[in-house]
Amino acid sequence: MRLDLQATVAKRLDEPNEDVCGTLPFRHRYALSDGATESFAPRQWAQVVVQAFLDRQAVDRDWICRASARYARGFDRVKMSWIAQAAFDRGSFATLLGLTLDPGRRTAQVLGIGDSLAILGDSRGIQAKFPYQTAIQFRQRPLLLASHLANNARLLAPGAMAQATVQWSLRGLHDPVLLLVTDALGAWLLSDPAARWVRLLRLRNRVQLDSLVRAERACGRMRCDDTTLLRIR
Amino acid sequence: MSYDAEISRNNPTCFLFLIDQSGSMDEKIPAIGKSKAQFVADVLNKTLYQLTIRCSRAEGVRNYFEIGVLAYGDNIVRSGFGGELSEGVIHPISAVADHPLRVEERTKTVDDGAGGFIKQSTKFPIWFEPVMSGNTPMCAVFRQAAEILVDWCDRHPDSYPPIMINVTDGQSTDGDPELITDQVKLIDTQNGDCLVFNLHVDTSDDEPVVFPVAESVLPDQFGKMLFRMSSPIPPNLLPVARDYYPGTADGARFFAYKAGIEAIVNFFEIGTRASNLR
Repeated sequence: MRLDLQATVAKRLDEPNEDVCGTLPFRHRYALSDGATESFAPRQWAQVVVQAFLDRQAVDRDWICRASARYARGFDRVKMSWIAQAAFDRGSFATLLGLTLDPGRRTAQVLGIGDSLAILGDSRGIQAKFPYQTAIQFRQRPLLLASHLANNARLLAPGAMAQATVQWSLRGLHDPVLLLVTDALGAWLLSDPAARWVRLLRLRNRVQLDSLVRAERACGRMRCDDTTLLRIR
Repeated sequence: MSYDAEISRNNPTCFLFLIDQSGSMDEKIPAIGKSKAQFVADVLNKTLYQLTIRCSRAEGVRNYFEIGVLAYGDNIVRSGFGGELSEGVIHPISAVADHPLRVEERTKTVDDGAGGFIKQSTKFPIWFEPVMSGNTPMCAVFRQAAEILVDWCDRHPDSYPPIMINVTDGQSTDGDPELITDQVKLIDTQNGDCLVFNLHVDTSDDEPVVFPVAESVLPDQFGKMLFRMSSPIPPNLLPVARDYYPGTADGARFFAYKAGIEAIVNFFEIGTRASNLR
């Protein structure tokens, strides 16, 4: 399997997209992170999170410490205004959706922190989703990776990472496809999964995703948010 | 009337705080040795600080919110902001962030990320000073708030509706404010009617009544009137209210009666938790 479409549509044309994705094809590793709007520097944190996953897929205390340190090196707190300092102290937050394929065993392992969504399907339709199963779950406040270690206590609790991980077998699937998407597209897909799965499979390029997202936003069926799709098949 | 609009820079929402500055706000809260006016001012400054932080990014402050403070007491209603912000009542959050009255240096203890704690210098802005004098012109302040909110909704028809938070410790001295409040609650955007939240502060040890669902649980006519003047908690804030007060029922009013320090802090925290920022 290989990446056959990577596309993103920003919520605004005049600002950087806060979704970040990265791939390491020779290790069959893919990562997607959605920086939270209520953050000091969401794009920078999402970039650090994606790179950290591509470097090492096991997220633990040491992983977060190293990522936090790398993020903090980008800023000089002492020189900040009071408002920037306060926002920096509050931190940045992001999702992490990490996918690792094992071609030999024909498995896909997904790490899902937050509300970015992985979907496994084939020619018959959607076969599995993670971490959410229904569109309504996107209304919850997701638990996100925080740039300050102290704000990650729930993620570092015993068993939390195991709960955030799933392994899918690709055996028996005819022409398997994996999608990694950020929340606006995930909620849209799960609102009408059968029809919309087919629409996402038919996309041929970035321009077509851009047209789909703008049309669905315009008629109120998709939230106006940064929207990213990685398709692997 | 779904209260689900995304809050963005194109469609910001508005918080309008009405703060009672009548003479009775001078009364001390025994547990903390501060007057009601001082404690409410502290909580309001903290709330403004947190709202500005929510909108602050490495590249600057995003105008997701517009903020106003109306102070009422001693027969007058005036903007509760001073300095550069005293002109006009409603200001974008970036202007609020740029113009505190002063910024104080404080020290706080934070996790050092390695199992210990360190002292860290932090700056805390002050926008609102406590004042307490004279009577409680509640009708006048609600009338002025209504004019401001009509204008605001006309300019922001697609926005999440404005939230008006009235903080008082006593009865109106210029008439019955209930009729005017009913009119305020009819001001709307396409996403819902204006929300009116009432917080009654008190220094007694009585258990506060927080988010009641019926006026019958309130002990007196004044409490019952403030209940009727308060909006039901909108659907998007119900889960937040239940995080703090698990028994909060569907249809409960956004109202707290005889609130002490904990209920005052919680009320501001829940009332300003409009989410869905984009």
